[in-house]
Formats: sequence, C-alpha cells, structure tokens
Amino acid sequence: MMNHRLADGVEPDRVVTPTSDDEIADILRGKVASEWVLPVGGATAVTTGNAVDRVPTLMDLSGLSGILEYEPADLTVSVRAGTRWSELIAALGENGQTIPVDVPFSDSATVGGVVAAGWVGPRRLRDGTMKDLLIGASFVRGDGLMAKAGGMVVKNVSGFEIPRLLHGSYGSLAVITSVNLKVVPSHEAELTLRTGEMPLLDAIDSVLRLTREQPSIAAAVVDGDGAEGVIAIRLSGRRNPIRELADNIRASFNGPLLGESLDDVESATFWQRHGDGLATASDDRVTIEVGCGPADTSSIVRQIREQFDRDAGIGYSISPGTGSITLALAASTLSLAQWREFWQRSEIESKARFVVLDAPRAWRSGVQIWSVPESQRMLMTALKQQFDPQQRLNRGRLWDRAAEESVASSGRRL
Amino acid sequence: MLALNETGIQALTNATGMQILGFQLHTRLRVEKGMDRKAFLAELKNICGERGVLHEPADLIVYEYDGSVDGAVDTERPMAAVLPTSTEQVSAVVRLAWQHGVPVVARGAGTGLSGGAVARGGGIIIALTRMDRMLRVDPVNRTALVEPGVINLELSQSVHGDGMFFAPDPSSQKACTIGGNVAENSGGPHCLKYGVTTNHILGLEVVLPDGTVTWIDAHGPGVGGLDLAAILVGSEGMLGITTKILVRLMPNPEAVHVHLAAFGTMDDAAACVTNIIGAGILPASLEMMDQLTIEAVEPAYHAGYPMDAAAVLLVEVDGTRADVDETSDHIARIARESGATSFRSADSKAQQDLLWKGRKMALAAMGRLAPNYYLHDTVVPRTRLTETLRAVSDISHEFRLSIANVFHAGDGNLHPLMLFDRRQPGDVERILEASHELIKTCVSMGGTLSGEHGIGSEKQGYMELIYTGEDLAAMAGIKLAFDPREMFNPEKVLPKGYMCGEVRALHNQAMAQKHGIHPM
Repeated sequence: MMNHRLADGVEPDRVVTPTSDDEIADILRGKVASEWVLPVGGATAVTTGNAVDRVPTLMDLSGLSGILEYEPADLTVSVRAGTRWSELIAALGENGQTIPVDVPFSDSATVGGVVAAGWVGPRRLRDGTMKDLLIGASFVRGDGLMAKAGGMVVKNVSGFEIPRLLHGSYGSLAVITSVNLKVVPSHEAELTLRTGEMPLLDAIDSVLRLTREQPSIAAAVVDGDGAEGVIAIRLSGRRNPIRELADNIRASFNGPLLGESLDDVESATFWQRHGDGLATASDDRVTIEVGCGPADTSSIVRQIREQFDRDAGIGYSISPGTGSITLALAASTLSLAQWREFWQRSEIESKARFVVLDAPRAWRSGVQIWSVPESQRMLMTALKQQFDPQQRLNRGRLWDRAAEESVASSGRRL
Repeated sequence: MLALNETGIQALTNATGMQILGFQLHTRLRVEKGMDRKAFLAELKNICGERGVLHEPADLIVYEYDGSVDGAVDTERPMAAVLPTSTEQVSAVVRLAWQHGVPVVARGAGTGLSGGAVARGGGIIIALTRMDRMLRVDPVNRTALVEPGVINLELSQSVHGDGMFFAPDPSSQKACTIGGNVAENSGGPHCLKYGVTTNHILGLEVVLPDGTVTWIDAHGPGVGGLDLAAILVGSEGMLGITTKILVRLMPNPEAVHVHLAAFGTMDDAAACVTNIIGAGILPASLEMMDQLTIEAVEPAYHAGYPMDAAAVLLVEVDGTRADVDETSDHIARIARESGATSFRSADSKAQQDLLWKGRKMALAAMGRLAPNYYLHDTVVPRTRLTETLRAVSDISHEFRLSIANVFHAGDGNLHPLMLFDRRQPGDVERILEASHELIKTCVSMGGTLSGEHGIGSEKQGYMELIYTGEDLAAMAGIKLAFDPREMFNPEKVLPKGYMCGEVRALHNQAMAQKHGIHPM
C-alpha cells in the first residue's frame, strides 16, 4: 500500500482522497495560487521526473475505484481510474479476458496510473501498448473542466484523440478519472523459453533474428550484465500452435540453448517478477530507458558498455524487437550531465532517445530530467496552458520546468 | 432531448443549403479584406512555380469537392490550390498565408467522405499529391519514411517483396494517400486485427500554422514529454500539415485463409459475428454484406457470393500455419452453429482475391442499383449489431429508401449506403432526414458518429449528440494550443461556437452554473 507520509521522499502538506470528479474539480480550482497537486494512483511511479522540494497537495485517487461498465461480448470495459490493476485483471479473467500488458506491482498500481505513466511492457512486441487499447477517458483538466472523449466503441474518429494524449502525460494536463479500454480474450496457453548465459551481444542478435522470423512471438528479452545475457521468449495463444512454435524456435537455435521452459502460471509469474524488478525504485540505482530502431540495438549496447561498464556494473534488460534498452546503473558512478555528455559525444543521439525512468532523489535534484526538442516544447507548453493554465498539476515535475523557462526566454511563438 | 433535436435540425438545414452559416462569411471577409489577391498569387508562384499554383475557376473545380455527397457537405471554391513538391515549399506557403491571414486546407487525393478537404470559407488548398516519394524503406526495422502524397496501396505493393505491408487499407486505397490516412486516422477491413492508422505511425514531420517545421516522434521507448503524434493523427488537418511520415510496416503473415459464410437472415449473420468475437477469435478481418449489396456486387464481379443469401460474412484469418488451420476450423463450427446456409473457403490466392474483390469494389458496384448513394460510418458496440441492423431496416421502410449494408462487422463499424437519385425532387432531402434518424439511432445504441471517415463538416452538427459542451471545450483547447488563429482547416469538426473566446466563456459559464462561483 501507498505510504501517504512520503511522496518521492517529501512529506506532502496535505493529502486529499476525492471520490468523485466534482470533488477533484473543486480541489483543482482551489483559491490559493501557490497550491499544486500531485495526483497519484498506486504511487508506483512517483520517482519519475524532476525532484520537487515540496508537495502542497497529494491527491490519492484510490477512492475512485470500481468497474463502471463491462460487457464481455463487446470486449470493452469502462473502469474508474483508482481501481487496482490486479482487480481489473481478475474481473476480466472471470470472463476469460484480459489486457495484454504486464504492469509492475499490479496489486498497488492503478488503471489510471498505468495510463498516465504510459507503462509499456515487453509484450509491446506483438500486442502493442495500452494506448492502442484506450478507446475513451473521462478527466478533469488542471483548470477544473470536467470532460470526456472517445466512447465505448472499438473504432472512433469523432473528434480529437484526447485519451491518447493523456496516455504517458503523467498527470500533467488532467486528472484521469475513468478509462474505457478494449480487452482481449485470454490465451488458452502460454509458454516461456529461457536460455542459459551467453555473450550479451550474441543474445541480442539471436533475439532480433528470431523475432523477425517469427512474428507470433509475444515478447523476447535479453537480461544480463555487460558480458553475459539470458534470453527469455514468451509465447501465448492456442496450446498446440504455440507448442509447435516452441519446437520450431528450439530447432532454429543452435547449441545448448532454450533448455528451460515455463508453462502457464509459472510463465506469467516469471514476467510479473521481471516487470517488478525493472520498476523497483532504489536509493542507489538509476534506471534509464533507451529507445532505438531494433537493428541498432546491439551497436548502441556495445557503445554504452564500452563507455561505462568497467565502473558502473550496468544491468541490462533489452527487448531487441522493439528497440528498447533498459539500463540500471549505480547512481554513484554517473551524473545526468555525464550521461548527456556521453550521449552527445558518442553520436548515439542521432539514432536513439532516452528517458530517465527512475533515480534517487538527490540524483534528480536541481536538473531537468527529461529533455524534449525546443519546437515540441512550445506545443507542449501551449497544451499545458490550455489544460492547466495555473499550473495546478504536477508543477515543475516533468517537462514543465524547462517549458516555463523556454517561454520566459523566447516569448510565445503564436 | 430538445437540445438533441435542435442540433439535428440545425445540421439538416446546413446540409441542404437552406441556411448559409454566418461564420463562413466571416472567414471570407478575413481573407479578402485589405489583401492584394494578385500579389498574393504571385508570391505563391514564386514559391511553388507557375505550374504549382492553380487559380483559374476551371482549374479549381475539382478542389471544390472531396468524396462526400454534395448536399451533405457544402462545396466551396478555394482562392487557389497550390501543389508543393517539398517541405520547404509547404512551409513557405504556410508562412505566407499566416502573414496574410489566409486559411489553409491540406488535401491528399480528395477521397475523404466528410468534407474534410473542402476549403470552407475560401482560403487556399495545399494539395500534397506531388510530394509522393518513398524516401526510405527499412526492411530490418520494418519501417518506411514516405511523403504524404504516397498512395496507400502503392506503399503496400512496393514493400511486398521485402515481406511487409502497411496495415490500414481503406476502400479507397487505390487512390487515397498516406497523408490523408494520417489526417483522418483511416481504417479499413484489416484494422480489426491490426488497428487503425494511428497504431502504425512512428513519427511525423509537421508544418505548424506559422510555417515552423518540426519532427515529432510518436511515443515509444525512450521518448518523453507529451505524445503530440497521438493527437496529430486523426486531427483532420486542423493542427498541422504532415510532410513526412515514418510508418510501421507489418510482416506478411505465414498463412492466410479467406472464408465466405452465407446466411438466410441478417440476424443470423450478425449473431455469428458476435459469436466469433465472443469466442475469443480475432480474425484479420470480418466483413458483412447484405442482400442488396450482393445483388449489386455479384453480377458485376462474379465473386461467388450466393445470390439467394440474406447476408454473407467474409472472414480472413492470418498467422502461423498451425494457428490459422485451427482458427479456421473453429470459425467454420461457429458459423454452422449460428445458422450459416453455406461455408466455403478459398483454396487459392486467386480465389481469395476474387472473394475480396466483391467487398473492396462494392461501392463501385452500387451504380447498378442507383445513380447516387450516401455512405454512413457510425459505430455501435458489437453486441448491439443485430438490433441496430433491424433499426436500419426500419428506417429504410419509414423513409422509402433502399439501404445497402456493407461493413466492418467485427468492429461494429456500420456502413449503411442510402441509395437515391439526385435528379428526383425531394430525394436529397429524404436521405438527409433518414441520415439524421440513422445517426440518432446508432448513438442511442451506445454508438458514435464515425469509425473511420471523420467528422469534417458533414457531421459537425451532430457532435453535440455525443459530447457535452465541456467535452467540446476540451477539444477546442487542443485546437487553440496548436492553431489559435484558426489558420488550418477552419470551421471543421467542432460545432459552431466552440472556438475563440467563446470556449473560455462557455467554460466559465458552466462552472458558474455548477458551483455558483465566478472563476478568475
């Protein structure tokens, strides 16, 4: 459960637990201009973004809980934002349905939080992201306007796609109060194949080749340190076809590989733990996600390894098929400035991007953690001004601080 | 209910042209006031060359329309149509228009069905059809960087040899452009499994209303900040003009099966759709055609649809060989249990293509039944399909109109085709009244206005059927953030009264009413 006393190491001045959209709107329209609100669901991602010195109001959204509408035959569900992820998955499971995203700490994480944080797991490879499943949302803008967009149909181009904009916006534009999602039938069976340790770069190349040949693979990751890695491949679908696919994969793999296989529950548990491990905040660890074209994965890993490995003891979790490289580094070995310097000097910048997913508070203090290109920052600022003109939401936590500065220095474009 | 009726009536009056809306006039004044038209055209020619600027009335006729029904959408002659060949030219044209306060409407092939590419109130059209280069195909990363004028089908054809395809496949795919697909967030039969255009966009080069050019990555690994691409796709040319598009390509599946199930009643066919989806099967596509459609299609293409069927379902399954075999057997079983009178599977690629030809060319075949048709695009929850189709049939009787149904049943995305003859007095008015009834009915089933054609000007007047004033004010906020001067595709999507200062006023008024307070 969430510790109300601390949010990212800061004791909030006050904690509010609204149970309706109206209450949220009232809080956001509070009269004191210095007030701002940090909306949280399960508080599993509050160490993302800039460190703030003070949290005037922590808005705990777990009071907005429950399923609003669920018609299994339509494969859609409408759920309040504060509903625990595990509760939603359990309710869908009773009807043989699910949402194919592995959410870390699913007993704490909330549906709204998962959407706001734009969480994406390794199943992105085949099954896409929450954004692809998001068909509607209700929200309260920073200025207190209560609105909705989208609907309960699976295909909809009636007006601007605000729900998709809120995905990954970390509560910087609006407090999401409910979401409508497409759900999918649960798979009859799943199977995870694992290798023993092998050279990291070989493992990446093998996975890349395999995922290109077999588009039915649900997820495939390489976990390891700089030298060695272990491959895990997740298959899901009808029982017989996935067995056959597993046999094909074993046959196409050379050497003593893919010895271990985990069935159904074991497999699901493995991936839950895998996600939890990646998302665990730590006092001495920095987690950075690097994104690139799948084909560039191994060359980028090689460069990072050459630069840092000897000192930092980096842990890697790589999904080569989606071009995602998650790095866990010892915080003491590297500052953000050093990382940025390396990034620019190595010219990785031209073919990859990064975000700092998590870092100790001290590491994040006094720096703008996320950088976005100037031209986009202008648009983001303009959206922020429309949705949250008084900066009531997440003030200074995300790209806002740099946005405020850039507006101050250059004046508004429009 | 009164408010809903009023909205509908307003839309009808607009559509039949009996009332010209005040704000059209407003824009035209804005365009022409104090402007030297000749000098402006000369500057456009400096940018795009003599052949890149059309301004003679005869040259502009095609730019007055898109694919919509004349009558449901007002046509309008733009001041000029420009045909740039580079991002730099688009940017220079936009900057010039910005300086002169001239609105700009981006246009692809003009196949849109909601009036999106019609220059309401004049202004200039930027037709992107000459920007049609495939800049880069990357078979390893399965992406392509294309200009907006690349034709949808040509993209898929050109990457086929590398084992890939572009998933969105609207019926107009032989003509429509990727840029248009991005603007409308287009769909197509295969979007059931693969998702609509937005799911396949990785990045966009965009020209903003002041002429600024920027590259925007869609959210993906390592991308932070707001997901601007997510809001740009489907924004109907109101927020930015895309000049380059990085698309995701899908690997060609190992195996594809195409099946045709025939039914004695529409109810059985609709129930079969619900049963397939309910059984946890996600076909690549699941399309329905009714008797009237079969009557038009079969004599034209000899696709092999049984002429005595009340409805047929065209089901495509793809994936690994083993998976496709098993899924096909399952679908055959469900079809029989749902009362299919016949079930047949194509046993060659040629047969598959023929079965598909009937579906893909269905609209073209409608000319056999009537000179004109009006195509709708409502979506309902899939469990309401049977009920909705009955209601469509009732509307057909009530208004003495033939309505053919050919649609994406798996998504619940209906395409009722109202057949009429524009030359018959009263026919246009009758289809517009029936349309109003149809849209209201679908909304009352929990549905929405458009699944893949967009709102444009055609369904603008219906937006208040599904959204509150607050919802629309939130959407207006998006427009205001990108384009506060309403330079791009003005007076589309949002109903009248939701832009400019009115939004803030409406918001304040709503807050005051709800809470008895007066916000700052």
